[in-house]
Order: sequence, then structure tokens, then C-alpha cells
Amino acid sequence: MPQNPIQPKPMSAKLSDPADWVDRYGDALLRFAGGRVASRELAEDLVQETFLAAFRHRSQFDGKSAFGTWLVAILRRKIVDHHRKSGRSPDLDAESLAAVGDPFTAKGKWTSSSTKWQTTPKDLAENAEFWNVFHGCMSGLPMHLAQAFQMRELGMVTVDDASKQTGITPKNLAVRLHRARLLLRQCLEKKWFQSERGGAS
Amino acid sequence: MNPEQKVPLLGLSCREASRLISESLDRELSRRERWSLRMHTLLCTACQRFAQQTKLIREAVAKMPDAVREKWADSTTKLSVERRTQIKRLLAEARRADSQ
Repeated sequence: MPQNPIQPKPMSAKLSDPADWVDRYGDALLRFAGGRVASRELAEDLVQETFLAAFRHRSQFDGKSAFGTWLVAILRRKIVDHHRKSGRSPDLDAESLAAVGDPFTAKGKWTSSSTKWQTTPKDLAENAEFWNVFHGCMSGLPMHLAQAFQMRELGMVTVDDASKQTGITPKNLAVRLHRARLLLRQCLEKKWFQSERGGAS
Repeated sequence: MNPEQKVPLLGLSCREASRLISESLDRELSRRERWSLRMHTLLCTACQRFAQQTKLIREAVAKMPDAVREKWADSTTKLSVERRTQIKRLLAEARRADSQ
């Protein structure tokens, strides 16, 4: 392609069909939104609005930045707007766990007693039923907590690298990992270890 | 709770202790943190359990079967198929409306 510095670079032929935008940038936008809102449904709504807004305003894309960067900028504004309209703090990490079940009293004591988990990692890992329960518990976590936990435990990404990838500060990621582990523990205790399936002894 | 705050040597709450237990899985704790966590867990069965349980979860996840691993990864990193289809349909409609 001949480079003409005066004319804005035309959008590459591959991106002239907006359906291709979805395949190319959809997952990256979802990951971005997923670290900034608490529900997956909402994250997907915002990604959808972003694509539609991008289509309506496509003539405003000047080619100075990458197309993906332009989309992220739109999404970022949508997220800010959402937090403003909902009247809640945009700082997800400052919110209390009250809505999803804080396992501590105001004085910082555990609210319920726990049982001893009589099993080994190997036994758990080989039990397909357990993974169903695990998956159910993960889906019940707020999106931003599930994402942080997954990056760390499944991807074995360090907190610093996760911070670079998501733009979430290491301190906030530590808060998210703590909350994710508390909620996951609570859920597994109830749905697995205290149920007959888990064979609590 | 301010994570910057220096942890007290004694009298850590379970909430604070559990935060240190969680962070110990992600970074090396300072000597002071390790010490105060040890003092707390010595007497607190619930926090001892939390430490064992989070470790058990980590070790089980490390052995997670590939199929489960993929399903889980997709759930937070990929746009769902339904949503993808819906957005494409909406974009196609917008495009048609535009060309009329």
C-alpha cells in the first residue's frame, strides 16, 4: 500500500465490513470491560454499544491511532458513563462485599464456622462433578473478581504482569484476588464440601 | 482497611489475616507480615483452614483437566457466541439502514 502522509490511511480492506470488527476486537474489548464492571452481562452490553457507536461514528476515525485503540477509547467512555448513571462508585474495589456475601462481621471475625476439607488436590481434580460445582461458583462471582482470579490461578500470571495487561493496579488486583478466594471458598464449602456430593466427613 | 497500613504485630483480625494469607499466594510477605500472620493463625482454626483451603484450590486448579480449563478460560476472556451473533446482526442492520 502506498504511504501518503497527507491523506489519512484508509481502513484496511479487511475491516471495511463491521462484522469483522467483532471477530477481531470483540474478545479484547470484553476483557477490558470485564475488569471494570461487576457483571458479565453488562460487560457484553457495553461491548455491543461500543461497536454500534463505532459504526455510527466511523467517519470520525482518523487513523491516527490503531482502530483497536479507538474502540477501547469509546468503550472506556461507555464504562465511565455507566458508572455515573448508576450513581455508584466507579471504584469496584472500594465497594463492600455486602451484596455478594461478606464472610466477615464488622469486627472482622468470620461469620460462619468452616469445615475441614478432607480431600487431596488430585482427588478433586479427577472428579468431574467437582468441576461442575467449581464452574457454577466461578460464574456466581462478580466479573472483575472472576477475571483476576482466573488470570492468576489458571494463567499463573504474576500480579505485576496482570496489572500491565489489564491496567488495574497491583493493589486493586490483590484486593480482587482476596475477595475472589473468600467467595470461592465460601461457595465450595457450601455447594461441595458440606453437600453429600463432596462427601464431607 | 488500608493495605498500606502496617500490620499490627498482635491483634490481627481474621479479615486482615485472610488478606495476608491470600497475598502470600501472590507475593512474598514481609517479615513483619509473616510474623503477625503466624501469631494469628497459631490460635485461629478458621484462618488455618482458610490457608489450607486456598492452597488446596490452587493445587487442584493446577491439575484441572484441559476441557474444563478451556471452558473456564472462555467464560471470562471471550464474547459469547450468542452475543457475537447479535452484535453482527445489529451491525448489518445499521449498515443496511445506512445505505438506503
